[in-house]
Amino acid sequence: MIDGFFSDGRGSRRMPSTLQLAGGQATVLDAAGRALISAPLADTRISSRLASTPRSFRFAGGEQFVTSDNAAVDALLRQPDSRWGLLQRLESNYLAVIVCVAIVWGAAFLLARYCVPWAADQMARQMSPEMAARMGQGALRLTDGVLFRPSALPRERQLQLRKQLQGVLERYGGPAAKLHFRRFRRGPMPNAFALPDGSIVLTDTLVKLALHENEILAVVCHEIGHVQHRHLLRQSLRASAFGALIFLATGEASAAIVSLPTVLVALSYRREFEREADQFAIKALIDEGVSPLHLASMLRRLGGLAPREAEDAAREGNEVPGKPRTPAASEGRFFRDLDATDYFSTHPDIHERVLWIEAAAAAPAPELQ
Amino acid sequence: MNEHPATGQSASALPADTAASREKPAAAAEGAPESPPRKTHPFEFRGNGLEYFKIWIVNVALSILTLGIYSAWATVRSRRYFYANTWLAGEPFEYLASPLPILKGRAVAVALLALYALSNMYLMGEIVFLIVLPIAAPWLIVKGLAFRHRMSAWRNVQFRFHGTYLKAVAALWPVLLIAALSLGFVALLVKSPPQLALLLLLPYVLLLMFLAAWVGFRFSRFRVNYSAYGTTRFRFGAKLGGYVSIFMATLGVGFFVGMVCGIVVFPLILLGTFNAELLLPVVTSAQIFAMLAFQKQATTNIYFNSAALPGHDFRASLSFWGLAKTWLICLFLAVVTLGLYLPAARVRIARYMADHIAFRARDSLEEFSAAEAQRASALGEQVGQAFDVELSPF
Repeated sequence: MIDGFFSDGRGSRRMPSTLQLAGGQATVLDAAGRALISAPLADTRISSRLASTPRSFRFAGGEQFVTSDNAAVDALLRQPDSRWGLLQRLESNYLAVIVCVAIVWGAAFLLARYCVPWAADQMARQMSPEMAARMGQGALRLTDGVLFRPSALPRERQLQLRKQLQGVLERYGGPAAKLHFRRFRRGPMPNAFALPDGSIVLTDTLVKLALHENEILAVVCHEIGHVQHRHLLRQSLRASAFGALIFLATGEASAAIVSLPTVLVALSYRREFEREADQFAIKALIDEGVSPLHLASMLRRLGGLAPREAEDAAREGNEVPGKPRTPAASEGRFFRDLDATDYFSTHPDIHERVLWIEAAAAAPAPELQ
Repeated sequence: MNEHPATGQSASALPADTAASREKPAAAAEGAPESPPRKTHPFEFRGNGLEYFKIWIVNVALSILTLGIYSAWATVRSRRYFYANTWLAGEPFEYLASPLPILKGRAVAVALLALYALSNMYLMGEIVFLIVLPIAAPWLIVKGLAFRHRMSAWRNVQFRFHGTYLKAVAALWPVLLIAALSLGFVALLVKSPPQLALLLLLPYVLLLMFLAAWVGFRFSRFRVNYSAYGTTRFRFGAKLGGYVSIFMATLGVGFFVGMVCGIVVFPLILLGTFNAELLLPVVTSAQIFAMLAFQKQATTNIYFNSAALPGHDFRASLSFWGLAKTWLICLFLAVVTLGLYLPAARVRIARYMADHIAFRARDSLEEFSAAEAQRASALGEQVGQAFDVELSPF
């Protein structure tokens, strides 16, 4: 006998009542012991157990019996409905819950690391170059208002650079490739970046920082690599594909945040792209008859790292005159890393990249294919 | 804060310590002029964060393992949990949907989205976006609300939604105006020098806020006026002015928070301790957070305080500080636990909402009659509910 409330399905009136089961027949009795309804248990819909929420018995005519006594209902039914019963057991078993956490985090990781990049790159491949270019249109104009001022480099210097770089731009960048000079409104910061429409922007500070013209050439080749591999487009496709997939898989937007750890994975996309662009640059530089070491030395200077000779010497234990890395430089690094317009934030893992480029430059060409 | 609206919705359905409340004459507290005293029945949320966490993590894990098929079951279990733990006058709400119609609707929705993605790829995206979406959206909203209402019950009486496609179009057409204005403004911004763009920004934002208030008002009115509990229709008594003042005040909150943060932050920037690029996003986040919290509590209050059944009404008393504090705690714990706190956050927010919303009954709660049974749900409703953005209040 289970205590609960009965309603006839015609209105909001409820009455205290009890439910009894005899011979497969469910009968609801009112307080006075009169039968309110009686029907075969098989014809009633009994809600599955969900934590400790009330259970309902729904009869064919819309009548309903509701009770909070879950234990009594389970005992009455003897064997809980196998399918829903299993869920209830999963939800109350801590080991199962821990396994579920592992599954969710693991799946989020796999999704972010492999599935999303693959799907997004497929999409990028489908997209026509014109469409990709349109995505970048106006980007420079918008950033001009906020981030940049016109370059202060002398006209002759700009012309000279354009002339020097024109060949590389045409040979590797395609018809849309175009060079722009700017300086940051906020102050002197060396940076270079590529927009989806093929525009490549160099800041004045970067141009001045270069000790050799081939260093600028190397940076431009690296940026052409970003354009040719459509990195900006692929990055934005990956980001949106990830959110959409999580939502589709779980039906819950909030689950996207369970995968907060995968934000770290998303950052690794960028590392992959930098590596691709470096690879492109090394190959282009070799084709041009320029040593890829120019890219490495420029990166060292951009990253505030010691020159290669100083590092080699330090590794062997010899102090060399020159510019060893100062403690002050590394102290300043934390805040600089967080600076959105700094070279570090757009080009992470600079030391690792430098070492890789230097190794690749020393290796025979086939490794670069 | 986008993860929270779900809770707002479920909260609206919820309940309280009824035995005590039934004895307390609420009219005294309110000083209501109606002669028959009203009894205040607070909503009460009885769920618990750990309990829901376990349900939720099993939901997500099984959804992943079944490549999304289980998500329909997950949705039902999750909604059932929130409804069944929401109590009013000693009775829980009930979510009645079964998973299969939801799965069917979701499959169609996924197919439509795939179609959209494809069309996007072949340069048709703008056409779909500009033509198909405005035509389809009101239909999806009406069908989604109809499904959600019919699947919601209290005391074995289901809710109903009587809105039609044309009424939804009438309620929502100003949205198109907003969209057109926004596109136009962006185009203008791109073409004009930065100084002029800044000058245009303020009138543009004011206009946008006014239109947003207008849409919020029209849509709330549409939703409440066509909702019914059984055969009893709801009425919405709010005025446009109420919504406009909320949206303008929201803007004011944003300015105020920005100013206060600026006073604190500028010396730090000038001293060179931090740089502006690092701190400005922090200030902006604080502004957006404060504006969202303010607007959420104000619109929830006006929504419930303006909705009524004949002889009954609601009292909502959310506060800015209360909601902001709840959100901040949730945000902090969600970050610290790498997202595992999110389900418990939904519970916490649902409880906050329930604790601050009450139903005031003049007559007996036994006299509502159920609506006529309707034929089984059409595919339209199933598809509509797949796009359901948790906007239903009941």
